[in-house]
Amino acid sequence: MRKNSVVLIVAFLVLAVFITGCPKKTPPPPPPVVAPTQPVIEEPVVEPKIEPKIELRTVYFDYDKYNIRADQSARLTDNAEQLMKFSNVNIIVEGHCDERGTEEYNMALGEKRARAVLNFLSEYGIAATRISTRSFGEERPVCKETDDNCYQLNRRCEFIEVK
Amino acid sequence: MMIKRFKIILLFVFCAVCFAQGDAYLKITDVGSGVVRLAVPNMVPRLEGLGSAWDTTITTLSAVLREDLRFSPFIDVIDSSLYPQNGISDPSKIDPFKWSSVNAHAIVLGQFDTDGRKVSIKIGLYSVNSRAKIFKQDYQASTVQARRLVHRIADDIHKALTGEEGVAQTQIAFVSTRAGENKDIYICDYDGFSPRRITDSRSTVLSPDWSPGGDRLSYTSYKNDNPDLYVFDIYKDREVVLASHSGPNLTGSWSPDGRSICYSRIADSNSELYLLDVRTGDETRLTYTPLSIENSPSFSPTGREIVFTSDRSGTPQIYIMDVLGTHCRRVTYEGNYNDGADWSPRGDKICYTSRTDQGFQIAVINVAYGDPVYITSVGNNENPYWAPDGYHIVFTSNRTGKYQLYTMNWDGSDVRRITNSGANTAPAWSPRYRWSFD
Repeated sequence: MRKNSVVLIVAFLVLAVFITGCPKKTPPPPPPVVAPTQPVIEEPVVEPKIEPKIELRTVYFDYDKYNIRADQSARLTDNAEQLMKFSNVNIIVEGHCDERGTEEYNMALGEKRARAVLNFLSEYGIAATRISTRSFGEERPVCKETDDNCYQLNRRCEFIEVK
Repeated sequence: MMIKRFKIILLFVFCAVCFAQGDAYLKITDVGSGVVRLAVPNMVPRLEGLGSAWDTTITTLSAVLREDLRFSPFIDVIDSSLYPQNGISDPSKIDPFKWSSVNAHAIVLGQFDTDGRKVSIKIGLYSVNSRAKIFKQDYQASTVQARRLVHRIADDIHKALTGEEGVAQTQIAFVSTRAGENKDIYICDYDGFSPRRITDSRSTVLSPDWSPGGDRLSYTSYKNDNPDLYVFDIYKDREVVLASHSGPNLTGSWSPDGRSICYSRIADSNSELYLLDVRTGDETRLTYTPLSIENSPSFSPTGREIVFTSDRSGTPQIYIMDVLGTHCRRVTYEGNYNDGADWSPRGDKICYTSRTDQGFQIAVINVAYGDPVYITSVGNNENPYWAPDGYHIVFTSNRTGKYQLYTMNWDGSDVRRITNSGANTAPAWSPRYRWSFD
């Protein structure tokens, strides 16, 4: 009987510790999350652009083809219009191919693509003396996966401004 | 009697090699059963006391000799684990009865000696049945050249057996990205060993090709922005620019007399073939096709004709013309993309890259007649180039991921991978060499 009461008391104490102790153990509430103060960025004073930049867009080709695709001619026309406007800008047209096919044939194909673009631009009225061509064949891919999507991105002509 | 019979076999092989292409064709397709069954036991040290430190060297060099000889489509090297006799160097110890169990025709016995600075190897090639000598020679080289010395031995044994030197002393030039993003030219032995860098373009180098003397390499490099044609003298370690017309100046092929290079450059806004005099720089235009690409030329071994690629039919196909640019005829009709032809040094066949339903594959076509034979099927396979023996082809394949170099027999058998590091492309097999040894 006495043993029992001792057990009860102990149990009671343990319970008490639990009940009262628990809140004690809870860690103090974390410091309030300080909302990241917006760093005061001084808005850069936007210089009014004196000369708008020329932005020539890459044109893409079909596999083993160098003709200007119908869906690319609008792009190329836009490039031509810009070149008309920025008559002091000379360019290099860089022809590229996807990795399929031999390196040598792709070198020749890349050159043909670049020259097809040159012909388009010169027929549009851009002086051919402002444009030079260069082929990289399959040597400079922009995308290195081996799928059709990637191949398409690599079959292209890029426009490099020459100062 | 036996040696006589053996000589008759050899004579037959020799004839097959030299005269009758048709016969050689049959021999080659017979790869595996081979013509001469050869045993090449490990060489034995001349002295008992040479020291076990040399055991590994001897084992390695013996294995190199076996692999060199196994490379020949005319020699069937018997698996060394089957040899009934090992450790003999005296032909009188050859036991024909024991060797008949592995059906050996001939045996190479080698004795190895070294003073640490030089190695000397005594080689004897014997008929197994009669123990008669077929070939015997002593070799010596500095220790660092030991592997190449074994290549020399293999070529000499090949000559003794078939009448024609092997290709173990040849080298392969190729383009590699192993040093980073840039593509530069490297040269390695025929088995891929001892690769060394040749160019340091800091840009891109393309399609090397050997001069017939094996002393110079032509290639296309972007080092001055435009893809120009260069020639590199391997012994003088000197590079000169040979053609730098605007647009790609793509190296193609040296004429067999070494005087000119047929290459492609831009003319009339389009890639055309030119013959360039290496000494004077004079050029002769060979093709006049403003609407189509012409490139990838390769000389016939006679130097009278050139095989090349043209897309004048609407797709790239292989054509042959004479060196004046006339008498042009189309060679390939199967498939809509055939390119990168290389004319066999034997003159009878042309290998090229063909696009098939299973990707790019290597095809071989007989110059005079017949349909193409596709000799690869796994992954994409490109850039085939004949070995100077006309029995082997080096090519690139992405069958294991990145493009690597492989060699094979021209029927597609015995494929061996010879590169591992970086991506490796555009292989060109050197002419035959004879190394000089110190």
